[in-house]
Amino acid sequence: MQNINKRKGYPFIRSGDVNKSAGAKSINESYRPFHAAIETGRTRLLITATVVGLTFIAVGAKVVDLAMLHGDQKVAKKHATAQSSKVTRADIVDRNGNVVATNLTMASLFADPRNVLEPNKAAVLLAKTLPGLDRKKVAALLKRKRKFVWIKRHLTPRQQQAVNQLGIPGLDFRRERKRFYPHGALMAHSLGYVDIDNRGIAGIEKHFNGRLGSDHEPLKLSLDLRVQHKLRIALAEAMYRHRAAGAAGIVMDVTNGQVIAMVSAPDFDPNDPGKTPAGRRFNKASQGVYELGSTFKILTAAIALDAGIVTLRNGYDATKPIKISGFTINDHYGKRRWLSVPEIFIYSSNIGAGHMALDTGAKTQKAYLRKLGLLHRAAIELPEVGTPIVPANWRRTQTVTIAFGHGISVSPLQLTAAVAASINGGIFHEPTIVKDNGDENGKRVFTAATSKKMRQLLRLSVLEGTGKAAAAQGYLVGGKTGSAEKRGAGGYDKDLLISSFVGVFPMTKPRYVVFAMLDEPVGTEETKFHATGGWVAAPIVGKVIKQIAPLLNVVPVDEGTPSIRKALTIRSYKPTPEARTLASFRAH
Amino acid sequence: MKALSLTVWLTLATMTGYAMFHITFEVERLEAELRDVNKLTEKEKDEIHHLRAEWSYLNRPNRLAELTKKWLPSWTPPKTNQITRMDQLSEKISGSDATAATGAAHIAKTEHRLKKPERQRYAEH
Repeated sequence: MQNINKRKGYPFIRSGDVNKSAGAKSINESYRPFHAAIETGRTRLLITATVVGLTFIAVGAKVVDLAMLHGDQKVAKKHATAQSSKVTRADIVDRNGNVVATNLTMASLFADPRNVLEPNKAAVLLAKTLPGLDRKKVAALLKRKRKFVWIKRHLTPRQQQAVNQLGIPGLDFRRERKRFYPHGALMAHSLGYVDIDNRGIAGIEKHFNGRLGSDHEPLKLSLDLRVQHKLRIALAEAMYRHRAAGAAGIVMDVTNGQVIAMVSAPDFDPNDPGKTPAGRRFNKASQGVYELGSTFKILTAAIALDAGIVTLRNGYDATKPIKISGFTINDHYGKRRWLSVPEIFIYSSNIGAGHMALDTGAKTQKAYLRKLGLLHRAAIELPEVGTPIVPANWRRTQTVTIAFGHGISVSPLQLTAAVAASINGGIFHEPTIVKDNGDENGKRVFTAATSKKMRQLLRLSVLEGTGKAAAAQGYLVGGKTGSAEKRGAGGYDKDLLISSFVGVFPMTKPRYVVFAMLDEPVGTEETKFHATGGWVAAPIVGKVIKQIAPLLNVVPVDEGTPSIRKALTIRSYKPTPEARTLASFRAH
Repeated sequence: MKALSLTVWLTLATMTGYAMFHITFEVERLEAELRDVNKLTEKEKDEIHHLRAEWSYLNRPNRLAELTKKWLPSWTPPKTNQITRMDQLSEKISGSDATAATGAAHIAKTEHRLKKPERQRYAEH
């Protein structure tokens, strides 16, 4: 204060000045500017003091606020965010919360070659200690003029200890997270796998790579570990028994399109995908497209019923094969007589289905198949999705062959979703593999009445038709067999089959579709050397349903209960003379 | 007056200085503690993570099936007629006393057949 006064008042306070002017002017006059200056100084000082004071009060208030009132939350928040910014890939869990993909912390060995004294000796020791290391390569690495080289990633604790005991200078470890799949091959094709830097390069891991890397909440799949296991074991057994080249299976919830289990065999261990040949990593259920054969008759019948082309009382003459553009369409075990629509279905008559499709027409058939998702890739959350092979020219010939599942190749997943739509009340749901992505609403394709008839037809096929082996007492199974000849070098090969069965349960109020397929099965003595869907694939579905129904909370019922019988029986579908109204005659 | 003012100011300055250093050191100490706690939490979390992974690994359906085969050899998958709803249970029991009796006898027999440690295991379930 005094300092300022002194400096500012300097010209006036100086004694000589005052004395000099005193003689000429009165003291009052000479004092006035001095007084005014002091006043100005005081005002300035006051303003400065107020500003400084206010700032101090503000700072003080903030300090009190942080220290005593709200500080904890803010500080805690800061620390919390600082912590969670650590990058770890999110876990993947099944629909019941069981971990199916997680991370383990592992040590990775690196070297600083500048500090390695004897690279050759070190290389020999390392190659001896760690399997899979090449001595020469390691020596070359250790001689490089770099600060950092990876020697081996993801060591086990025991290996780490062994390397430590070697006591080689210039080696060190870095802790890294490695993706781990506790269930090995069980869900291999759905989960996919990651590369050495934990980036998803196949399956769910690839599709949700961004989500898994940024969001820490586990990703919940729609798959059920237990159901997956039962399906996988049943398929593996059948594959072994029938010396099949491969197998695929799907269990799907018909009410929302959620995939409960999806198996493709042979499979691989996602913990070490490089060890198995690429062929095993191919997902036959979603990526493979096949001519699936007679299972397509479900759709042929549903379309014809829904479009009002036939009723369950109509039928077709199946005495003679269909001859069309040089092809002859025949039945495998033909009845060679007039067949009603239910009979065409349960005996799986190609001739009957062909006539039905011809009456329906290519345009209607195509429109329905499009709505059922069979003409474009399935929308499932996987990168490995096959594009269906659809005829470029959809003429009468194609209409006939597609009626019994030839001339069109779709993935098992697509067929399963389409079959679900035909029996769940007529609503198509896009298949999904993530729990919360279920498409609850779906799109209507068939009327509820058509869907009811389809349930009766599928049930009849298991009770009296080609699908008897799929029956699981108490669970009201319905379904349809399919056996398609594979295309060889010179046309279709009679001995190479894709044998499948698509089953639904419980038929009174369908909840699940179960699909099973064997690629090139061979008949055994047990199957009387047959290798068709009814002999090799239907038993798989029956067995799987028996095992998974209790897991999925489906309570068995007495199949003989009158109300159940009434809901699922088609009365008088067998030909009587007066019922022989040919739909093809009626249509023209 | 001057002396008093000086004393007050000096005391205040000393107190502020002391308080400042005290708070600084306290914050540093607390931060170090927090770091330690965070490190421990991380470690525990990591451990829980590993245990969860191991739990999942030990619960592989394949392994459980093998263990069941080994330790509960007489167990078979439930038959359709053994499954029912809770509300239908009383009906089922009174309707088939005979079956229930055979069932109980079967269980008793199984228990008897098992060796002692196995029997203990069996009783735990």
